[in-house]
Amino acid sequence: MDTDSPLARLAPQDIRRNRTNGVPTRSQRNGRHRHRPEEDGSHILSEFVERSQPWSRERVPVPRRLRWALWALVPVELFWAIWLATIVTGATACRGPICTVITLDHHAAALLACGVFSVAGLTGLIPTTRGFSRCNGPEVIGLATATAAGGASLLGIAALMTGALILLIIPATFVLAATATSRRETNHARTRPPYPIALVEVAGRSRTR
Amino acid sequence: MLADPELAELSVQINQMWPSLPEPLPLQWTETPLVSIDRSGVPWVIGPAEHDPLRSARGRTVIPHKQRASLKRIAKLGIPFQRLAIAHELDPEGPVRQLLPALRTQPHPCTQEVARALVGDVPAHPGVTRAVIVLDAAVSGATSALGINAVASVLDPIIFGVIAPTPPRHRQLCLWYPLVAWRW
Repeated sequence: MDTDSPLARLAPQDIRRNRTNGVPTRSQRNGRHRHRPEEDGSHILSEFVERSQPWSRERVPVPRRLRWALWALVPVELFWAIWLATIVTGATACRGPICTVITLDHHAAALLACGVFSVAGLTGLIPTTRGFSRCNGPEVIGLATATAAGGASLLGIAALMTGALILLIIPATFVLAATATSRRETNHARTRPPYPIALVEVAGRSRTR
Repeated sequence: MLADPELAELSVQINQMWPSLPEPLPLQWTETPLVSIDRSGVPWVIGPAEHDPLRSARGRTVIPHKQRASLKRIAKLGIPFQRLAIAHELDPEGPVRQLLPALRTQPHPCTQEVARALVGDVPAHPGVTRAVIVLDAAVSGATSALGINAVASVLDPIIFGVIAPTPPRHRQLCLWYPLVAWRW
């Protein structure tokens, strides 16, 4: 090998290793020679890559509404999980149609697991996302998973609210319809007399004057 | 063609050993960020990777996943790069606009603060931004204008591996191998 060549001066170990066509030298066979990256400079790129950060780890701002919603979800989930825990442990009795609906037919343990996962996930993400203000790719996945788990645990409440809303809407619709009908009838009763009769009335009034 | 015979010989030898490497650019090494205009009139900030204006406070350079994987593959080849440089394309209508008349005559070195002001911030990842918007829509039933920043910037960074017959010195002619490039 030409030891005066620029490349030889640049990367002696690499060139020696490559020029032997893969056959290890005696020192390599004896284990005395080990490839040390710091000898040839190729470590610069490896170190750079090691120290680099994937673009998806770069944090993006979280919209304010989402931030507030996530902050609100934590205490709601916490109280809900505590209440579910009392049902699971038997401290609170769960009887009646309302409790059956909100626990999705006595699946309080499953809902509690979802709630605990949600609270734990969201609480764990508070410091890394700086209070849900900025998040990166993995954190968005974490937030979405925790939120979905929270949503799942609140499905019973959502079902109850939907049912209650429907129950309110149906009678309200009947009441509104009935009110509108009676008003129309009243209005119809107060309609003005036909045109000729009205004319006669006006004429009669003018004569009396 | 390389005018410097030593550099030309080095280029030939590297090409023989690592034929997959692209053709190098013979450029002077710079220890400080340099603002210059290329032949097509596009302004760039070029500088050593360790002085990259987009480096985070912890000294980490942000690279997309695909280009990172590509750099890992190149690193395994054991090419004896002595230095790494990063070039950032600049928006001619951006802050560099004031410097353009002066740059037409020659490149100008600049401080890291100026380089940072010229290059700006790392754009938001479009996938992460989209995910946040979807989550926002699902949770609070609202859509936000968060995605605007993610698509506003589509400028090129290029990472170079630099090799010279001796450890690169300021203004020494070196071989600049473009390793990866991407659009934000």
